[in-house]
Amino acid sequence: MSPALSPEARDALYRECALAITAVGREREPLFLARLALLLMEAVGDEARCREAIEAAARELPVPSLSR
Amino acid sequence: MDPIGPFVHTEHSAVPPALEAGRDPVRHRVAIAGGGPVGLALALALAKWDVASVILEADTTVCVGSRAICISRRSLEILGELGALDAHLARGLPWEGGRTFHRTDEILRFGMPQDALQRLPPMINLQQYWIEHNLVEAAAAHPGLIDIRWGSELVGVEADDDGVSLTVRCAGAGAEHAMRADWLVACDGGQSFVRRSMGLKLEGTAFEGKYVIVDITLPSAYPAERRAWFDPPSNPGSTVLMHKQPDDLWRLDYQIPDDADLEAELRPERVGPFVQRHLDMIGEGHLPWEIVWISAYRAGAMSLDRYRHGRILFAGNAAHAMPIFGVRGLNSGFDDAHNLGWKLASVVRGLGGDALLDSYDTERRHAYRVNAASAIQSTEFMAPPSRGFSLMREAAITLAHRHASIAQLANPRQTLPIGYPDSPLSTASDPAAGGPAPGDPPREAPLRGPQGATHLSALLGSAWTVLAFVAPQAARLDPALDGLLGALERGPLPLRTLEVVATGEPTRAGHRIRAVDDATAEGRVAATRWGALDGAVVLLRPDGHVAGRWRRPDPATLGAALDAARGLCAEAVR
Repeated sequence: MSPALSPEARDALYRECALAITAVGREREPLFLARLALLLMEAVGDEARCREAIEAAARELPVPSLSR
Repeated sequence: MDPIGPFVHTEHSAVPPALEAGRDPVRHRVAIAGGGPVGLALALALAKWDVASVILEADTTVCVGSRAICISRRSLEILGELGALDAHLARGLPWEGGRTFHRTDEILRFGMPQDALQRLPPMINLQQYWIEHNLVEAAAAHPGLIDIRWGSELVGVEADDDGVSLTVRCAGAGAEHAMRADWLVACDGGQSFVRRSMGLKLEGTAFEGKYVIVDITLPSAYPAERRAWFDPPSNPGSTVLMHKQPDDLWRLDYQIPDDADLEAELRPERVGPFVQRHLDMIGEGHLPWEIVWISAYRAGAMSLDRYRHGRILFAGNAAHAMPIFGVRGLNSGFDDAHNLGWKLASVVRGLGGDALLDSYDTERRHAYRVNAASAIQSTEFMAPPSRGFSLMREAAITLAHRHASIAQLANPRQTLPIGYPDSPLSTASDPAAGGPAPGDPPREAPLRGPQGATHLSALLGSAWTVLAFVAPQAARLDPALDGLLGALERGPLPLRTLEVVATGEPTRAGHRIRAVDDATAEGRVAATRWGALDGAVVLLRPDGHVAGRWRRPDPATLGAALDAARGLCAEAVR
């Protein structure tokens, strides 16, 4: 396991990711997120953990009601 | 079709055989449906074993378009065994890698496995009509063993327990005639008549994408390599591939939208402007160029669920369809012919058991699955089949220039030799550090042979090979093993012993060859590549694949492994 994020780092990254999504705008949002996924998979470097993350992200995925 | 460069299509006359009451009175050993590269390669492989075959080819010339143009190193090794290598090397364009562009930025440079110790390039480009021509020429060296019947279309097939009854329509004769063969091998391509007449279907994954293939004459000095463009400014949104062929011929491939009218897209007035814009972009738009051939294809990875149906066997595109990316169509067809040739010949000559033909099915269907997995991965990148693939591809392409690992997603995954890890012909073996395991294809190594500098791949082929790594101080094989090998070399089975020694002089005596390993700063090349210590013995099948390998085998072990690999007692050994 890689080291867990500190609460401060988690908060900061959450915020930076939100700002980046807003900054790229709706049109480029999917491509931005896909690039982020690819880069993070390379950074994690662990096939099983990446697969778990893909499955977890798709699990119980609702139709957006808070972020339309 | 105007001649392209120096190639001239020879028209072969369709001459029916001498008939007796509407029948070819000769009972043939092997009939081959289709005289394309796979059928011709199979006939040559059989001829190497003195097994006669008759090829039924509906056309009266070799193929017209350039069709399959990439020949892999493994295929070149096979062509070498079949006596057709020099003609291919003399004309083909060798290449080692390529580059991929996003718009005009280079995002990937890839290389195929290559090193200075190889005999053959990883790939050559040569038009399929040249390939077929070379194989027809090679077949002429076997008069009486290879009977190519041009203009002879197979129109009826009926198999029973001891043979196959065929109906043939010969263009040179008014009526159909009947013939009989012990075995039929369907090498009659993607639209296989044999397959359809038996009610068999290819199953697998079909892709929506439609592609246009264009050959143009273009006097460009750019070297032979594979170039791919994603979203080039000349034709935004498209994906374009470009390959050089001999005789100033260039191949362009590009995908057209799923909803496009394919027939309209194939017209020169549509293709021409596309090509001109592309040539303008790469700075070659000023050169005179001309369209010589336009074709189309759709990608699919599909296969029969069995390649053997009693006395009828399927090979090449008749057995399976492969997406074009990674050049596995023709090359897997050569592998099929090479795998089947020695097995069918062994069965015909009583040198092997019927289980060999079942192993053809097992091994080549395994190869299909390996090939299909790579080709599908390539196809999904080249032609994304859904929104997710489009998005991930764009993500990868736009990150590739800064991230070498992500750029590998754009690697075209060119064909590589495939092993048969679960082959029913293999025998339990000793582990080999880094060397080929049972079922694996052979490894190349430079050697000093009786006729001077050579390579291991040039010494294999068309016979069983016992590859023995002899200790320098021993200078000869273990006497018990030596006795068995001597007896085998003198026996009915085509078998040679290839002793590889670290020092000393190369020799040849009968079916015993002694070759000297190449010593480099890193050590002995052959011994290292084969993961072999002194005393190690590797049993190679006639197609070069490893049947078994041992640190120091006793004669009984080697003998039993040979029987198993001949399909004589596969069950007992497993």
